[in-house]
Amino acid sequence: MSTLATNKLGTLSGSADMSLPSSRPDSTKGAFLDASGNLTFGEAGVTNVPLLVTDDDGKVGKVLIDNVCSTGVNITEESSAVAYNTNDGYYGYSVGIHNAPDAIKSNYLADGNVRAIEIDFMAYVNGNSLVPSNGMWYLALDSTGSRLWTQTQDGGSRGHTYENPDSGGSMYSTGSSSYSQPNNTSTNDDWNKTYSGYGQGCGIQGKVLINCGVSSTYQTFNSSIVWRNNYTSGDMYPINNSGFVAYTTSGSQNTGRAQTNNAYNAPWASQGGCLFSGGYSGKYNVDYFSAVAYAYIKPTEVV
Amino acid sequence: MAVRTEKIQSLTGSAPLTLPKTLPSSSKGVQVSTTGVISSPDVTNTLSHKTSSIGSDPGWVLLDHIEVDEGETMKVVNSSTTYPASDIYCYEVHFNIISNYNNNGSEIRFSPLRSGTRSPNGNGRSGVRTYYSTGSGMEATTGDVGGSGTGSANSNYEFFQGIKMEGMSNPGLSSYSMAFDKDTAPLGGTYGGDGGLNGSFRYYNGSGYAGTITSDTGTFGRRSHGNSYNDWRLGETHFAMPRGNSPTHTGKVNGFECWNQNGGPGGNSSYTIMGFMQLYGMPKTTS
Repeated sequence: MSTLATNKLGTLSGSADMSLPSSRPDSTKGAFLDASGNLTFGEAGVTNVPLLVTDDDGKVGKVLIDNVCSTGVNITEESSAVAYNTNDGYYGYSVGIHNAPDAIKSNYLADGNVRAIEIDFMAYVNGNSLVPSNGMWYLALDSTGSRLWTQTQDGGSRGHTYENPDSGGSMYSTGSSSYSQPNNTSTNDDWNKTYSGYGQGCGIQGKVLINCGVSSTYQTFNSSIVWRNNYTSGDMYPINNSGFVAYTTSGSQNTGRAQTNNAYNAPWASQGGCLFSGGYSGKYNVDYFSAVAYAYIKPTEVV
Repeated sequence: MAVRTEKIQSLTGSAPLTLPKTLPSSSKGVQVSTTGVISSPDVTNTLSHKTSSIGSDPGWVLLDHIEVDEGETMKVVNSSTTYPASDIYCYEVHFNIISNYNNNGSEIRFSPLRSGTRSPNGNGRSGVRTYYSTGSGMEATTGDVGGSGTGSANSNYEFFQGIKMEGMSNPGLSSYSMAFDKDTAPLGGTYGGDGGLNGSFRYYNGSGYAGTITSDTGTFGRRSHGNSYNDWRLGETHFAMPRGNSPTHTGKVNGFECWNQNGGPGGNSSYTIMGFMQLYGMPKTTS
């Protein structure tokens, strides 16, 4: 590198001293200038682009916020911030805004600027003594990575439905469903359960879609396909899961939140991601886990 | 280090360049304007699409993005000159659509646009929806396809999806952004499902055959009002394609519009919608 002090160039004077490349690229390349004044050639800069802008007005519409991959069962505590009591944290894999770089968070992912989050995930259950036969749970996190629901809900709804692989192995059985009020206390997870399969060799892939509203517009969904055992035959079948959690269906008032007048059960902070775990009773439910998360944001100028 | 001034001199002449006087806060791409000004603005590190390493073909291109606080309709249009409608083989629309105003069940109608005008091919179509119901598992319905007229008539839709309209209060939801702002969000409400429709659909943009096809995970929402869990529809997917007859409209689609079945131009002005739509296109390859 040769150093070119631009303040030595007469009318081009300034404080932007630059280090120029000492050789030309072997083919036409893009050029990049960093904060130290280094001018380089290559593609490296354009591969590190977490933003997707609209073709017509150049505003940011979609942001890559997180990418998580594991190479085996996570036997370490993920975070005490999502503990269900003071003695035990949650295990699993947390995905969301809290893992994004600070500059991306402050420029594009602030609470109130994120409209929706989509998490593509897949997991494989290799099976061992640490992996019990429980379903996988999605635990709602806020944008700091802490548990979203910190108070007992008076209402709210969550439900899930899935095909039944034990009805003679029919590909499209009538399915099963259940729904309940989330409790969010030490005896229950605050969000949605799906079936990640039973025993070794099971897998799951799907999506979580979060509407990040802090009013009763809040809704979040999961849809996935599971490779699951038929209890009777032992064969395995692909089955579909879907689930949701939403605002109260009864209008009951949530007295646990700061606002006291008509403060129903909408979250009072934006959901920023999920912890994928085995729930409070089955910590090590997923061995091999991968996820990519995107945020759909309010049309925002590039910062 | 000595500056080789003779090389700097060679940069003058017919293409004088102006060097930046300040450095960027992080590594940015460099661009040169037609007046020779070298700069490294933030925008040079953004993309509207990914680019293939083979032939520089684009993948999904973000063509349009709108957010409507409250209006008669929502519309996304492909106005790109680089990727015009004739080059888009498939569209994908991501959305969150909320409808005012009274907590009842209703429909959101969708129509493709050709040259910016509604031009559905609803008649003679085969329309099917499959979904998971929290009440009874996987179900399917047929129908749900509309007309084939041209223009803004309420009946000119290609398919629809059921929705529970919101009925929030203290204060009412008068703009979409309020729902995401904890300082202004309505505190009063009665039922879940106020978030309306969430998800995406894809649209095959063929010349003879064009229509909606299922998305990866469908759309999500609540079909009707009421204090019941059973009307949530999860992973609802749509299919609306010609069954064999010739479609009325054969031009390439350049966008999509949606509205409440009772609202839209000429309809009841109380039935407004709000939310966001993002239009992605998959262009043909050139390599």
